[in-house]
Amino acid sequence: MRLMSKCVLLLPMFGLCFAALPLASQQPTISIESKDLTVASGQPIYIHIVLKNTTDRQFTVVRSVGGARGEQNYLINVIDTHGGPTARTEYGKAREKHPEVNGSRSMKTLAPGQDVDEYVELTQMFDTSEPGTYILQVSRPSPLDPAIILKSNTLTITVLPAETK
Amino acid sequence: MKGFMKNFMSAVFKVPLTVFLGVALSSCGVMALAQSKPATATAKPVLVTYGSTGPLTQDSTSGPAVWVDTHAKTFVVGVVWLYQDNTCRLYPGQQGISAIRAPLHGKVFFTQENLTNPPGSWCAGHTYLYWVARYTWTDADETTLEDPVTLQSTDVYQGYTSTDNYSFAAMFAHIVADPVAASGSNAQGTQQDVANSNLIDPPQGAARYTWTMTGGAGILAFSNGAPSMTTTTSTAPVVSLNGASDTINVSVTVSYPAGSNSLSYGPTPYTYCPKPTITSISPNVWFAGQTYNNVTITGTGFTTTSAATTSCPATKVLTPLTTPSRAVIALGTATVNSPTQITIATVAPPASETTEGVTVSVSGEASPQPNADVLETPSITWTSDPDGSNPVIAGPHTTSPNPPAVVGQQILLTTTPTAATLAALPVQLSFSTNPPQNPWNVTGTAVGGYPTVPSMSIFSGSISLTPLSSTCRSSSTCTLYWVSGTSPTVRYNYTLTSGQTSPTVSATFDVQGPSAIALTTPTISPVTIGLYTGYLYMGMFVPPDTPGIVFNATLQQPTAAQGTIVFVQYINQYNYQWTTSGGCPSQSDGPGIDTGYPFDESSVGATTSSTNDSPAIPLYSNATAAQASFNATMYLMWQPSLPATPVIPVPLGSITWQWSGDAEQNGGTWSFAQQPASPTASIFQPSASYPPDGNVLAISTTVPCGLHF
Repeated sequence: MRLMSKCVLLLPMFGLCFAALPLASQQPTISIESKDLTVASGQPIYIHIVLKNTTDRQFTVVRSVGGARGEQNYLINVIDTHGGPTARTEYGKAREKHPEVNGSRSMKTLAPGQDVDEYVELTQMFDTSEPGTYILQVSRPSPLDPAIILKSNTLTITVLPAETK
Repeated sequence: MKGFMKNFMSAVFKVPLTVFLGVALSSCGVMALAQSKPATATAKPVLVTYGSTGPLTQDSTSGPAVWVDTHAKTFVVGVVWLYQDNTCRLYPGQQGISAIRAPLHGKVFFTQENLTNPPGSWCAGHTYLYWVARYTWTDADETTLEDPVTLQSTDVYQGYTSTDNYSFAAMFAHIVADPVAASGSNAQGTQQDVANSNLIDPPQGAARYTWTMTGGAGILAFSNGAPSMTTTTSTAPVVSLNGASDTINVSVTVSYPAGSNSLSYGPTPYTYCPKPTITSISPNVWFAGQTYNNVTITGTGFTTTSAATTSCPATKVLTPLTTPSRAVIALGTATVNSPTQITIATVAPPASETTEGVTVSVSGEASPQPNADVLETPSITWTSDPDGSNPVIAGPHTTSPNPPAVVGQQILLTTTPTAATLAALPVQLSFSTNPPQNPWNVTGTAVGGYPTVPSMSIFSGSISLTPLSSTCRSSSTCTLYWVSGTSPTVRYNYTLTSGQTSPTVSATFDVQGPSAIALTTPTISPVTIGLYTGYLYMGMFVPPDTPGIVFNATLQQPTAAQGTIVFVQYINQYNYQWTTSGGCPSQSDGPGIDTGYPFDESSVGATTSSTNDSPAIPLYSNATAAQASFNATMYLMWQPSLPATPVIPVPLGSITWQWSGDAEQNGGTWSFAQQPASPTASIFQPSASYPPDGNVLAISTTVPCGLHF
């Protein structure tokens, strides 16, 4: 129940919880990885997100421009050491409230087998300054069927005290 | 003195009834001695010598020293014979004195003189007619130190003859001038050349020396500024009042503490040649390979050709001028214009000369010190070349002419001579900090810096071009990045604080960059109202999958290095406004870098790359109208990939494009208030111009006026 309620909070525009949704066949996949699996507190954490067209159909997605701004197109769920949602930064809160973008954006058309990647600077969105373990997962509506929420693998980030790494 | 008197007595009392009386003189005083011989008579001999250091040794060829002079027929000895009966009567007989060994350099004069026995002597206060022998140095050779003489006194009385011989060395002092003047000052404290006039072998026991000078009025003087002075030592400094030379005669009279007698020497011809001293050279900084005409030496004590004499020859500039590194600097004819100025027609350091101090000196100068600098032709070293060889690319020791480079590659140049080298020179030099012109001249198009395109992180802050004038303006380093140009040239010279500018050296780079560059916009969509990621927008796109504008770039990589295509978009102006029931002010973004740097980090192809933009404004449900006007320039750039070498992107050209729209909502349905014009885009404009400086425009996370979907 706790996870359920949290998912509702993270996905207001869709009113859905990725944990409660069934995976559909013939949908693109999302994977995440990071070079920053163990970092010192205060250090930036970058998450690499790859959306791969594993279907036999071509589709177009919006990709953020201007750097690591994947939060424009992906919902990010971060569970902290205590098992609860990780506090958002002011920017994270604003993005959560206003996910729309006024201005430039880029479209990427993916043929079958192609992928598009983006980065997210996790520390810009969430307060991960407390040493401990953070588990994160990203999701987005399927480009082929917005009713289907695609979710990534989970990734565990360990934050160490600032003086050690 | 006791020893002298004792010995003297043994000599005198061989003479029966004879008294020797010497009178003189201040230094030795009077010695009166008496002893009876023979039994029938008594005698009181008294002998006084002048300036003696020992007894007059009878029958000796090496007598004591007795100082004599050239003037006064110096009193040597006087004899008189007295009864030794305390009656102070003259002893009868035929007495006399003669020289049985004549002097070689002087003459002995014999006289009879009435002399009064001095206090403390035998029969003090009595005056007698003495037989006196006086010596005067008459030889022109004043360098001889002594002249042995033997005197013989004779007394014939009652058929009995008594003789005694007395040998001594007539000592002669003489005036000698220092061959080289030394530094000193005159009585007024003015620094002057000084040459000492010395009395060599001065009389023993002398108390003071009175020096006089004849000639040289207004030119030479003693160190008190006058033509005469008294010293307590046997040296009198002579100074030049105006730096000129002259010939004078110097005399000195030597006096003794208590007496009135004195010895005099001179006049001695004395030619004063002032010591030449260089105080400045102009110019005193010479660049290698350059020829300097009429180099002026300023100083003191120079002797012109017209004023030259055998004793004081004309001053010469010493040649060859050899540097510490054993290079020879060619000097032209030197002309002594005046006692204070010499002109060297030409000074021409060889082109291969290094940077070092040199010493220009003139004949007779004492302890010349380095007084000029020769500066090597500057060189440019490329200290950031990729292979680490740091080649010299310009200057006399060039190792790598026409060095290869690519656009966007950092070129870090260093130069010689360095500021430290100049500061360590004998004539300390420094670069001008406010040169009249930039030491660097760069052809082609180059910049001093630009932010390197990051691979992932969000670039915040400003994007600004560092002009070349800020990185290539010092005389030691230059950092530049070529933007374009196939054979651009770097020229360098430097300016000293004196205003002198070095020769210019140059290096021509072989710069490569992308070629066959093209940027097209195959897709330019109309302005549309439609859903976009689940929200309603008005913008330049065609739902669901047609971007507003597509940019396709192609180019050929240079052979020297690979690189990546980079897109950077600059928003010239983005004006937008929502109309609400409560009113909502117009908004504006730009000018500035659009969203991030680069615009699209996913579009980093090598020979082809594509990006697109679909700008749009959200159409909120509680707004009644929305207007937008967007104008941007997409810059095509290329950034080389060079390991361990700093790189920046270089602009290749740009396309400026724009769109606008005006929508209104009626009953929950949005439509165009007026049909929007078709978006436009210019053709690709090849250019080496960077985007205007500006901040990266952040994504707005606030929505004004309470707007919502």
